[in-house]
Amino acid sequence: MEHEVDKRSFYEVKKGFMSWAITLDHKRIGIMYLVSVLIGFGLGGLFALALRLELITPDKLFMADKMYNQSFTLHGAIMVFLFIIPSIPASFGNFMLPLMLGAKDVAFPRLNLASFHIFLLGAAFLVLSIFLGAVDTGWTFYAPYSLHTDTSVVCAVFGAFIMGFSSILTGVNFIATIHSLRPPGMTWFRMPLFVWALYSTSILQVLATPVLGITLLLLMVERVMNIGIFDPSLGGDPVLFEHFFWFYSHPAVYIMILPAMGVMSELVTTFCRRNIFGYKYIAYSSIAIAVISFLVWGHHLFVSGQSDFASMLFSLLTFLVAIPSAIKIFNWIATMYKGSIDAKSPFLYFVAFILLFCIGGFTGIVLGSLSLDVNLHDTYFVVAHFHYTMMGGVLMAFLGAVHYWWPKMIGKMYNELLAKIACFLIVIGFNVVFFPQFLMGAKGMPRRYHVYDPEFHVYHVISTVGSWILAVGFIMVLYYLIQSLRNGEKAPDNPWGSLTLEWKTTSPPILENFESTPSVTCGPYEYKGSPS
Amino acid sequence: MSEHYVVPVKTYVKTLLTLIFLTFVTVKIAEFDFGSLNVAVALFVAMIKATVVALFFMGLKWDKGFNAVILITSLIFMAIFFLLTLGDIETRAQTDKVEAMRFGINSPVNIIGEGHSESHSKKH
Amino acid sequence: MSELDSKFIKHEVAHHFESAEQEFDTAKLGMWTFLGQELLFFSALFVAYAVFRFLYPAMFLEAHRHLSVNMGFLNTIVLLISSFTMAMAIRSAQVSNKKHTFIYLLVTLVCAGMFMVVKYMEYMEKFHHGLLPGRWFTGEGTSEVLHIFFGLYFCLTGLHGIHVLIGMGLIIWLLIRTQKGEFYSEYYTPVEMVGLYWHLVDLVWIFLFPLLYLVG
Ligand code: HEM
Ligand SMILES: [Cu+2]
Repeated sequence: MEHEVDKRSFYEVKKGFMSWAITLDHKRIGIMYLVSVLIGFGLGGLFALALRLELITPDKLFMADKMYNQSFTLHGAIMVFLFIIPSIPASFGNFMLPLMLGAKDVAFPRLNLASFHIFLLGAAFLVLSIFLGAVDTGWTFYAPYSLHTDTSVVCAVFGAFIMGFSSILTGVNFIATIHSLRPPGMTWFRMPLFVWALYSTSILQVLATPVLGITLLLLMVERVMNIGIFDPSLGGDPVLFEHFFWFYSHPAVYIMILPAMGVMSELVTTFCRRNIFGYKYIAYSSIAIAVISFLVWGHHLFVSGQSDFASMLFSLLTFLVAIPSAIKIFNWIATMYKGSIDAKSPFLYFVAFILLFCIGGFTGIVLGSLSLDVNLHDTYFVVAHFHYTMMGGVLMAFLGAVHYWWPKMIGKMYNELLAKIACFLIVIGFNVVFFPQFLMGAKGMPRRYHVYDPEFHVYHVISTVGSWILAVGFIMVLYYLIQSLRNGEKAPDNPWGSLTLEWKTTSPPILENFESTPSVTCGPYEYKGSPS
Repeated sequence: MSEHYVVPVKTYVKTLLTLIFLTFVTVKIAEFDFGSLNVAVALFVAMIKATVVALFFMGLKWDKGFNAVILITSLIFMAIFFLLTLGDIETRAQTDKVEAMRFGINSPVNIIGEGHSESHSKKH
Repeated sequence: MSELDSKFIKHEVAHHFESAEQEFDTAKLGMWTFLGQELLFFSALFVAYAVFRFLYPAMFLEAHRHLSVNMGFLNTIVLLISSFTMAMAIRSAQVSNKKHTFIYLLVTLVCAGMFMVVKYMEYMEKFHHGLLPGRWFTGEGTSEVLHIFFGLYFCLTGLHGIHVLIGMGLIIWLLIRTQKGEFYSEYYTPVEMVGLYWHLVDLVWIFLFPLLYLVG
């Protein structure tokens, strides 16, 4: 079937609102996800700045107790459900997956669009709940408090429930795409590692997210009808809610981090001009992480009234996760060895990721040790841990991906100098915010309180000042990206000299992705002169 | 597409009859008391029925192997969910006992062990 | 094929697939993946069931006596038959027999309707005895936590019932498309997909029946 290929970029083929709202093109859907998650990030960020400001004094500054509770809940819920979970897989995954495979689209384009619309619907409910009496339960919605608080739990939970389906459908779509749409020559072990990461993420999305769905559904039913399964006063078991919730939410932290790790593999090979060290180990360790992440959820319940036996078991299993994560880190570092490193801004984010994620991961091991966690649970130590993993890990990778793929997606270059300065500001600001939190957490500062012992005052002040540095960094990124959008210099097809397929088409890509289906004859990272 | 295997009608009829027969079996054995094995026996028959449905009605017997892999994977993760959650619930009573003895802490959660409902005094 | 052409609307393979075969296999793979998530979706309810059955065995024994084994049995048979007719509908589409496809789908729909009617009668019967979900529960019994069993009962059967209703909607959609002549030996993907979904609904009921109706 021969036909003329339209050589215009996918932006130019059609214009206008409807060309976006009902598009079936994975690239447009990816861009729309990107815009949505950035809005989510901005919104969550505003809450974060407000929280940090409130904490600058040991007494109440401007928030009442309830408002503080609502703010941290919204900060968490928005960041988790509107930003981090869809961030890399839904935006860059959608845009890049078919390109990296050499396919024309994802397997089910209409399903893809539907999942975006579902996402918007869910997000609308979550945002609506802010106006109907914002939730004050914490993003974890723990029973029995969530059953009795007078805030709009049902609306917010319903939003998260709906967004879950968007995540599931994306997962289904990616699995089918990766299985079926690989062109000739693209064998499993010639796929870029980002694709492997998306594959394992999809497994998690498909197998874990439905449990979140049903859990939230049960929570709504319990709240509306009091059927008595989570409410202890009716003979129910609130710890069961925590089991259900974390059966999803621990794998969910890997839904966040696995795609980030995939981005890392792309960055390190491109900017070191070197074949990845231990391709198969990285690929398999993605799958291993996906599987093991289902076995450890109980480490969130150590002091929730879970049995000692279960706690011991979960503590033991938790240590296992560290193995495949470490395999990846070692492989990336080995890839850098003797590479010809080109320290462009995406690479700086790679370095930041390694540094910060290691701190996050190591403190995870500390928390996974039963006897330590009994003291550290629900302190700022935990807050610092998960920010080092989620922000230091996922967000750095997200920014790395933005800087790496921006020329391809938008077709323009950005100001590299400003990008480097912003990266330094963000990394420094990040550490100023969160490192003190390890210290005060270890000394016993509990999380989720806005009135605290003056002993912790100095740490909180440092932390708040850090949040301003971070904000400046992000605003800078926003500034030069907008500048690039408006009058950035036109990007070449392959500005970084990368070997993966998405760089073999124009920047931005044409509607059909490639003029002719690419044929693949070797692995994705076989740079000249690099040992394989 | 035309090369897809067309299953003979006879196979489907036999499948249906087997399933109806097994449903009778399910009802009949529920009348016997196997003690604590009651659930296990009921589930065993249900699993046979489920396997029959999956193999013949859903066509896994003639299908691409990977679809079966997906099904089995989901079942494995369901099993993990069951085992680890019940691993907690079934050992919880013991933990509560230790806490009550050593520290005088009584679990505020009313359900602390098998058969506890009988002493559960909360009215609905 | 020429003789088929006149009776059926020819299916166009979507642009990003090489062949109809690839399109079909991909759809099926996607559907199975979706069924995987359905299983996990139901699983939390089954885990809750297991937990409370372990905690309150005597209550479960008492509560299940309020359910009618005959009704449950009847519904099991109805669903099994509908699974059979669904499989036959797919087979008829495979051999391009439009009339049979339509009839088998219709019988499936009728069975699904019957299932819902029986379910409705059961629910009414429960409501009549005050065995309503949660806060409206006024049932009497020796156990204080009888309402938990019925909470689970309504969640499990309710969610299953919603799946049946969705399935009915899908079957109606198939009926319309069959009537238009869209399904024939070269293209019957939607029939196959809905079929898989329908069998899953049956599978869930196969477990619900002994667990809810035959506790003792
Ligand atoms: C080496 C890997 C990791 C280990 C061993 C680990 C371990 C733990 C443990 C034991 C806790 C519970 C602490 C407590 O509440 O007392 C925890 C909390 C948490 N972790 Fe990790 N973690 C790891 C990686 C990650 C990653 C990669 C992420 C996210 C991208 C993450 C996100 C979180 C979050 C969000 C929480 C707290 C949730 C809350 O209570 O609100 N962790 N982690
Ligand atoms: Cu965890």
